[in-house]
Amino acid sequence: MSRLEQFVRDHREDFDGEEPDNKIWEKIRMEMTPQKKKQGVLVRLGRAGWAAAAAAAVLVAVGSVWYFTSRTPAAAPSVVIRQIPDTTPAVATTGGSEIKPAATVDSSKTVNQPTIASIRPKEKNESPAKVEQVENSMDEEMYHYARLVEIKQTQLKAIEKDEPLLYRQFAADVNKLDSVYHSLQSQLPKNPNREQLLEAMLQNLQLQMGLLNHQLDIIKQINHSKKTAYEEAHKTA
Amino acid sequence: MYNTSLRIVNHTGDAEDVMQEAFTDAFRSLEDFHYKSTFGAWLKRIVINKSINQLRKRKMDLIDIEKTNIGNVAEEDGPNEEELQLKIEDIKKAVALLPNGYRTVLTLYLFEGYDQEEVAEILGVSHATVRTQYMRAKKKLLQYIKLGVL
Repeated sequence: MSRLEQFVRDHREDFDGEEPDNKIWEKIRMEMTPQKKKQGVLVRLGRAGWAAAAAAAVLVAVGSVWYFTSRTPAAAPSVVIRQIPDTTPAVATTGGSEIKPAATVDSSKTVNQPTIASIRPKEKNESPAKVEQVENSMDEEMYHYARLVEIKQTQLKAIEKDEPLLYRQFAADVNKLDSVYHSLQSQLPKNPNREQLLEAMLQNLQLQMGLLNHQLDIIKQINHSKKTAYEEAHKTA
Repeated sequence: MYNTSLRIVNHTGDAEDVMQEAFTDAFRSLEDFHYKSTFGAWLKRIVINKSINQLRKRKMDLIDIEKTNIGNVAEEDGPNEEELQLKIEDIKKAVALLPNGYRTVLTLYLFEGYDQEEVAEILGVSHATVRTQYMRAKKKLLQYIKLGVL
């Protein structure tokens, strides 16, 4: 390394004494401000509008539920009606709470599958003469579902004593859906699009039933594990 | 950064423009910074590239300078490096007097600490070019210093 290079290396800091004009930082800041402004707006929205954002999110959620329930027609009608007589007696006659969920879970599964197949015939039935027929069948269907939901709710109530906390949580979940159902019901007289609304209600009931089935399954599992635990404890004792 | 740019473009106004451009560009393309190097090194590269572009904008091409300076420097013997009394201010002035091409090469190698391969890559020239350019630049610099001191 030559002397010059060594010298520069030793005094490297001293060669950087020049300072740019202060206005260039101002210029840089000016150029960056458009972006900063954007960020500011974002932050402000974030802070002031948390509630609004939450409300919007809820609206979107409810809206999408509404959209999808109204879009995917409760196309099950013909199929569901056929299914329900099968399942309702099963629920009604088999007294044991352990067997019911299993039977109804099956029914709900089979209900879901044929929906796709039955969409097409329904779409063809758009002629006004058949609308009332569709409505009637829907009413019938709705009645069945409402009954199923009722039965399941009483089943669920049976666990209130044993698992009050769990029951409260389950009930809260069901009540959420139920309140939506009732609001739909209250809209029914005013709403011109009766069929869509009925379909939404039906979908809601189906959801309620699915939820109840699931909850009953959980309870069944809990009971089962309790039972085995008890038995094992008994054995060891 | 400003000193780096200033040494290359040799013009305070241009150096300030380069700084401004480099900083705003850097902040806009922050997502292109992949932590392959330190942020400082990354930013410095941007500053250097902008500075070189600025120089080229002024139509003082590296090759032109090489051509115009080959004769007079190569023939002369450089002053004896060991005899010179080096002063920071003298070196600064002498660097500023160097032609753009020499100054760029010398600045990158001597002050910014890039090795000759890196300088060649930055300038888009061969390693051999950098080496000869640097030797000539250094010789010329020492001449200036000698003249300044005397």
